[in-house]
Amino acid sequence: MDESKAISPEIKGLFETIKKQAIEYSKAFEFFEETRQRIIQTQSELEDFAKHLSKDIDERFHLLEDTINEFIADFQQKNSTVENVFKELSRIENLKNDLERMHSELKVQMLKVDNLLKTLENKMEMEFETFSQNLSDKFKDQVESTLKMLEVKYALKFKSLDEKISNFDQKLLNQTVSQSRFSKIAYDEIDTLKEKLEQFRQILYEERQRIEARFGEFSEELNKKFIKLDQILNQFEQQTQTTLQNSESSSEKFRDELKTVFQQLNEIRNQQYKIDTKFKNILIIVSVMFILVLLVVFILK
Amino acid sequence: MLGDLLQYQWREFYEQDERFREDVNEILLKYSPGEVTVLEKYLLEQLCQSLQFFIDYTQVWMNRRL
Repeated sequence: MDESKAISPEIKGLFETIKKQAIEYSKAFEFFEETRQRIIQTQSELEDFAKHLSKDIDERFHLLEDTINEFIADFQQKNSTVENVFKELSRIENLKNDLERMHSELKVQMLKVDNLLKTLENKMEMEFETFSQNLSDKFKDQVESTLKMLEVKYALKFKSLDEKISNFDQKLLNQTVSQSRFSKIAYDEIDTLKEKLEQFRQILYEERQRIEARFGEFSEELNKKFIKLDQILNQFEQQTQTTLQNSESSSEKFRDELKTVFQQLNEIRNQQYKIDTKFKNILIIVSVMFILVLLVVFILK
Repeated sequence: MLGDLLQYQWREFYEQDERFREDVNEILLKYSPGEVTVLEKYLLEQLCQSLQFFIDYTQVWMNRRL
């Protein structure tokens, strides 16, 4: 373009000027671009810093919020405790006031009661004195009248008793004389009765010895019979076994033997029953006699 | 002579056909013995357009700065 003749020199100068200015503008724009890049970098750094700061602030805010919430909860708890303490304190103060009021009322009531008791005591003393005086007067009058009546009554009774006693003395004298004779006879009879009782006791002892000996003999005899019965039963068992083993033809013989065995058994049972009844009767008689002897001895003593 | 043709005979064709215009402008710049008003006018118009573009492009920054 510099060598071209188609453009006038003024326009060429204008273009040169504009070219220089364009170069300056280009430099300025480069500077602006670098500055913009730095600003963008700084902005990103600032944004990162802001994000970090925001995060940090959020964390700190949450931490602070938690701490504040804990503090508020603790404060509310302590506040409620303090409120309860104040309520208790106010209640205690009310109770204290009530107690003081009741104490003063009690003092007043006690004074009133003391006064009433004193007046009552005075009245009771006066009443009691008058009543005791009246009662003692009445009692004295009554006692005197009763004593007079009793004196008269018992004087009469003593008089009649003296007469009766003198009569009884006379009768007793007579009775003692006759009683001494009777008692002598009775003592003699009792002595003879004692001797007879002693003889009877001796007889009873001998009879008992004899009965015991007899019972021993009987029991020995009974044992022998039992032994014999066992032998018979054994023989019977043996015979029954042999009989059963032999034949049916010996059944009649077996029946006879069985009958004799049962008869012997019945006899032994009858004898045993008789002996038992005799022994029981003897024992009853002896016990009755012993009881009678004891009664007689008891009566004599 | 080419300048006169462009100014009168081929004016419409010069203004409408871009390829023809660039070729003619290059020829004029290289081989023209004298000043060509049409070319100067065209280059000044181009310069004005470029400057207007620059002004429009930097208008946002100027507004921000303001």
